[in-house]
Amino acid sequence: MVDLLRRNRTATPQTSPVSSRKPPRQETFYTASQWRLIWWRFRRHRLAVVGTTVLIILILMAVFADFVAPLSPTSRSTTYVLGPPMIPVFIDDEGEFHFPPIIYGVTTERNEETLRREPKLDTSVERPLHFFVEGEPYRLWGIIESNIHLFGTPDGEPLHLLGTDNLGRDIFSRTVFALRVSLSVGLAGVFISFVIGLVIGGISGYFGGWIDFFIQRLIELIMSIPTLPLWMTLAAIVPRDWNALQSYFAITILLGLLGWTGLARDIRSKLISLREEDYIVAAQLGGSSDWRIITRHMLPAFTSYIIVAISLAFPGIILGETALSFLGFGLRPPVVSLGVLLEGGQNIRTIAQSLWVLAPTIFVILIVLAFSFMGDGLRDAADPYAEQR
Amino acid sequence: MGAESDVLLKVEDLRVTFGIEKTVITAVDGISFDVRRGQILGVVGESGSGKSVTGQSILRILPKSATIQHGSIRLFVDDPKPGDPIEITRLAPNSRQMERLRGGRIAMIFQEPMASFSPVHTIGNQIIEAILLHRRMSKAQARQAAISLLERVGIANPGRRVDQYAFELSGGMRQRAMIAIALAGQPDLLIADEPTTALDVTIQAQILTLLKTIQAETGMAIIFITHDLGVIAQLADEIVVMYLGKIVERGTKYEIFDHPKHPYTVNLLDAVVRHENRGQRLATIPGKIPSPYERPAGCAFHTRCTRKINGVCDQALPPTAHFSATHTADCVLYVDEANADA
Amino acid sequence: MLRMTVTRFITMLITLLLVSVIVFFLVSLPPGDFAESVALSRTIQGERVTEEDVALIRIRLGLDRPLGERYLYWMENIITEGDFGMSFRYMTPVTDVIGDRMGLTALLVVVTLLFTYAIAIPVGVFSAIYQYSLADYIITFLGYIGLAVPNFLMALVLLYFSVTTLDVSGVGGLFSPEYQDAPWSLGRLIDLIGHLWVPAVVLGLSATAGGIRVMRATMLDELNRLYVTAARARGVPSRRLIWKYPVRIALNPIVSTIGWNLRDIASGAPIVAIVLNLPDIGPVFLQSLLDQDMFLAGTLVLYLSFLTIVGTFVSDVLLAWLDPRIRYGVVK
Repeated sequence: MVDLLRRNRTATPQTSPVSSRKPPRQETFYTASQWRLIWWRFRRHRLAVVGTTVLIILILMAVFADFVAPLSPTSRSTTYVLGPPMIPVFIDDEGEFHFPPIIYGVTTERNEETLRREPKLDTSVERPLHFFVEGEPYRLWGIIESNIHLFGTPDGEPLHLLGTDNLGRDIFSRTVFALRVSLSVGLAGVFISFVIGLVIGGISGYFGGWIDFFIQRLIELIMSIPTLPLWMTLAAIVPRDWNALQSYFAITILLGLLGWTGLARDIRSKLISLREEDYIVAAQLGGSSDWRIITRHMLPAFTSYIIVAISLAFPGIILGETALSFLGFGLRPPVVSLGVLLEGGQNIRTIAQSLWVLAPTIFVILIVLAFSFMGDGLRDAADPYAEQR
Repeated sequence: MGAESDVLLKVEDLRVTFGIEKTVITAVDGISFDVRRGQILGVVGESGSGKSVTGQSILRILPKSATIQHGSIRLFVDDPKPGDPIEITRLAPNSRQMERLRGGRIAMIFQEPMASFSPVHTIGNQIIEAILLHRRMSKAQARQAAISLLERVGIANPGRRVDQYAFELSGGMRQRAMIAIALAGQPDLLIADEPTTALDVTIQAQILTLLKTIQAETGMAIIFITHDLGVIAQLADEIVVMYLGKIVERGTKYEIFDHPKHPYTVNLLDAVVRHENRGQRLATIPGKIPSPYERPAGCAFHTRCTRKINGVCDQALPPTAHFSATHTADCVLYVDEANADA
Repeated sequence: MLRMTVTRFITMLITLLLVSVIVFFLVSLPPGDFAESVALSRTIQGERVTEEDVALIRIRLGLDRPLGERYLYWMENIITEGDFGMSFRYMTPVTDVIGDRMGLTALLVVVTLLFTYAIAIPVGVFSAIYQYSLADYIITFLGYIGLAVPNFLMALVLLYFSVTTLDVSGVGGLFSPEYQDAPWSLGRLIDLIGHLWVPAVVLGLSATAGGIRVMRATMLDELNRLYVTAARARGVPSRRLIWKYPVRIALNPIVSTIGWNLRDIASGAPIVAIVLNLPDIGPVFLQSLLDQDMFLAGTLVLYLSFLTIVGTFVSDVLLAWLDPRIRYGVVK
């Protein structure tokens, strides 16, 4: 309905200089390629650029997880259990400046309430933080053997940027590895959604008629069932005796299977509006084949919208995985995803005493925000000649 | 020109600019004209000539990005004090006084009658609103007044139409209803901004006849903004021709149609479909109206003018040539012919 | 209007029926046999269960019959007796287990929805009128955050603050101790409403953020329309103009998002209830899935869908009532 209202608007009342609000650009503006125009407009959307940068950093962290993380996701500290984050500081508590930054040492202290000895930071010990430090050996992507990590302390003592969990595992390292899993689940889930959505939305939009009617009712039907409970129910059906890898695939497929409805709708409505464009009608009248019209005329006009739809579909899948795993229906240890990391945070006592166990959610929020910003920027940029607000 | 007391609206040296993304473009560039009581003034120009912006400036309903840089718009009415004009340019756009002027003293109708109505309110609702804003009446009286207004603008079955929505009416009827709203406040001046452009030719003629009849009945003045000289020939007493924010020629209807002076006006007239020119190719004006961002130096029309004098037209602003008390044109071609003042 | 309402109502019934088919087949999917899991749980409790007992349970639950027949039997019981089947874990009718809790969930969902629009509409209007102001930027930014923060995290953070700074019994639960098991009374209702706002805020966060965005964008569109200029030109004072025309018209797209938002809220309701330990269907739903008590789980999914579908129906009728163009069939 909003679309329809918007169409009315193209007939602006007067044609004074105001209504042709095209930015002052030289000839190049009118002759630039579609992608170049998109890039120009995208670049102007500052939030989108920030979002994309953050996303690239997160992806790099995930790809080089073994190198970025100081420790492996399974290595446990016996002394530093539920230990607080060691935040690197440039200026210590005595006001002295350090470069490279320093982190404080570790000590234990008796908790007056529980009478247990708990790890605490010892500000009297200062340890410098170095880059490219030797540490735990690893095999990057199972191929490259190394023991160089992005950062660490030369003294070899453990470094827990975001603290440790109840088993003494390093939360930062686990989060970096979890990024790899969560992003891959998102990627695979979106890919599945996208393929289904493109096929079904494409059929619906291109053929129309009763096929369209039937598909639209089906989508409405699926959409009327609340997503998360449906995901939970489906996930509960995944057999318990499947191993972590099997259930990883099962959950990814599940997330993808339910996410296509929105994409299919977007693609359909875009196709329908495209079908009525004059140049498509002209191509049809000119006797072009369906195939030629779809590949030569529709797809180029369409690709940018697909990219936008995909980047906006990511957050849903990532949030879905997080919620499912948080409740214990999603991925299972030893696989670590952002949701799995949070599962331990369900205990309110633990949270009350060690808020840092929730630190992985920062990355969930970052991913979702980054994708939303990027998607919004792309959406605005996808229509390069559009009037700008 | 008539006596000074005849003047209803006086626009002097009006300049309106738009600020869009750090660039400032001039939409109306220092124009002056008078509207006398009971007169129909035609304002003609192509898209981008600034004619609509002029109309919006008089009502102070310009978009946020627009600023009135200088100049004055004065309305000579006996209220609040006789002989003391209302300085429209001095009023705040959202002031109570300006709101009373809108619809009460000066009304406006637009090109798109469909889009001028709220899609979710009835026609009657919007007419009654206008009546209640400007006249002391009860709601029931206002409804009766709305029905009789609809009848007056020639809408059949007004008792039923009053409760209908804009989308239930035909294009011509919508514009009639729009005129009814404009009449609700019994204004002294009606600004009609391309009111017939979106209509079929037969409907166009009906609306023009209606405007003429109503003008004769009420004695209100009309500023009729259009790009169509054919339309203006049927209606206007005097005509102002605008190009890129400036008035290039003005005169009575006969002066403009029979003795056009400015090459632009000549071109415009050639482009009108006429009986005498049957079988001939319709003339067009060469080139395109320049982008407001790249305003030509000198006479703005020199980029398209067939009689352009190189080194003159593209250098300095042309002087104003006076041909009669009412007829002037801004063009160097007439420097010697008339008593030009530069 | 009446015809449209009736057609829409029939569509709603058909949708409900089809959703029930989907849900039923879904809950029948898990491998293994409910009877066996019942038998197992009884064995664990120390009973001796023989093969005949299992067969008996199977017959009693109707598990020996084909799937289609079982569905019809299930539906028949729902429609004629309001009986949603047996909970295998509790061996009592599903409605006995969750009857009371369903009402609370419905209340929570409705209150959340009302809260969402009560915030989203005025804030969206404000943000659009003062476009590009500092307040507009802050609202837009908070809106992004609201959409990005998973609601269970929001619930956890609230719990954290209630544990660390307030008294422990703060936000968890929906009743004060004295009303916990009391029969319904005015006092209990007031107490409930006093507690309800916390989960409503958590649950409505993303819907509110989304609502603000929709409202702002539509308002910006509407503010530029000719009918606004036309109304200004006839002397309508600016404040009255904004509320009578663009806001009124921008309500239509907002109302059409009710169905969508309802689905989101119903979708998040169980997880928020689980974290905050509300005495509604959330925790029961979680437990039923853990126990593979599929009739119970299925009933709850169906119930949440029911809330969404009925809500969508209401919003469609409301939209037709609000927008004459839809009422008269000019726009679909």
